[in-house]
Amino acid sequence: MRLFYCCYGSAHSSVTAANIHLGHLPGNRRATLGEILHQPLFDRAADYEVGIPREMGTDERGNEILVLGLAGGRQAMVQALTDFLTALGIQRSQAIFCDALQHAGVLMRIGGYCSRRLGWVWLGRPLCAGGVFKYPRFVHHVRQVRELCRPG
Amino acid sequence: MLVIYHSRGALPARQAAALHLGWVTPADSQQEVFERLGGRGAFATLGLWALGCDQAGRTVYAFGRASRPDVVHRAFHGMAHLFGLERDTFLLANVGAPVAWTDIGVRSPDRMGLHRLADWLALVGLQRGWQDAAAATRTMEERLKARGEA
Repeated sequence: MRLFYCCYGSAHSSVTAANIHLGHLPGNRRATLGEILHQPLFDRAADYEVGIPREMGTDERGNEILVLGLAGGRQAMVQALTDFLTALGIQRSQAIFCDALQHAGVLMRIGGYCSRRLGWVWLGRPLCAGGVFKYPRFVHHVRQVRELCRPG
Repeated sequence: MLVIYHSRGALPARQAAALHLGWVTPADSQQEVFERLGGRGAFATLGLWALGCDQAGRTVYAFGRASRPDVVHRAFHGMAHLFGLERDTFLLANVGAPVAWTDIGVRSPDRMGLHRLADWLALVGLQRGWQDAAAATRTMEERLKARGEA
């Protein structure tokens, strides 16, 4: 199964959720600012990469974990992608899409805009790390997704 | 093969897809075209909307996006690559501008319950959208020709 954590630009909230899922960030306590800032692929995606699925790794159950930036209108895009795969014979259970952006707080959203859209990395990246205040929501989200992916 | 038209909001894409299939022409009544394309249901429907098969047996779809067209293309091609699907199993064509102001003008009144206003704006959008729809179907024809499938 392929599990897609989705957000706007595949740089912050989806990457954080995917790294929690893969164990690169703690799942049993709040991550530190340093851990958030230094997690793999955090605040790295360029604008031309929005829309390109990026592999983050494979979890212990063999599910491929990916991040996907869908810009605005994620719900419409997820439904369209699901219908597209179904029309081409891919079972719905083979691709699960999860919206990680809903768990991002204001700081992460503003920081992401400053860093990725305006290019103010010096301001945006530290602001994004302020996502640590909403970290428990990401952990809870990942737990729910893992439950969803459990076989049987 | 899948032929997929997409636009900001669903109506322009449906208009182009229906033109591709020969269901509608610019000479038709806008109200009839609007009803044929799903009417108010088009405002809220998410996902691919299958219209039917063209003369060559290709299934024609339309969907409304709120993302940029380049994001749509990267996402679809990215999915195809991940799942090992051949590139020639589908073709995408964007209809209209990246942000269609008529779409915003339609969805907001519809959500506020101003359905008659939304319907009227949709008809105006359809009337003005024939050029974009024709351009999108021409683009699709050229791509199909390039693949030797026209």
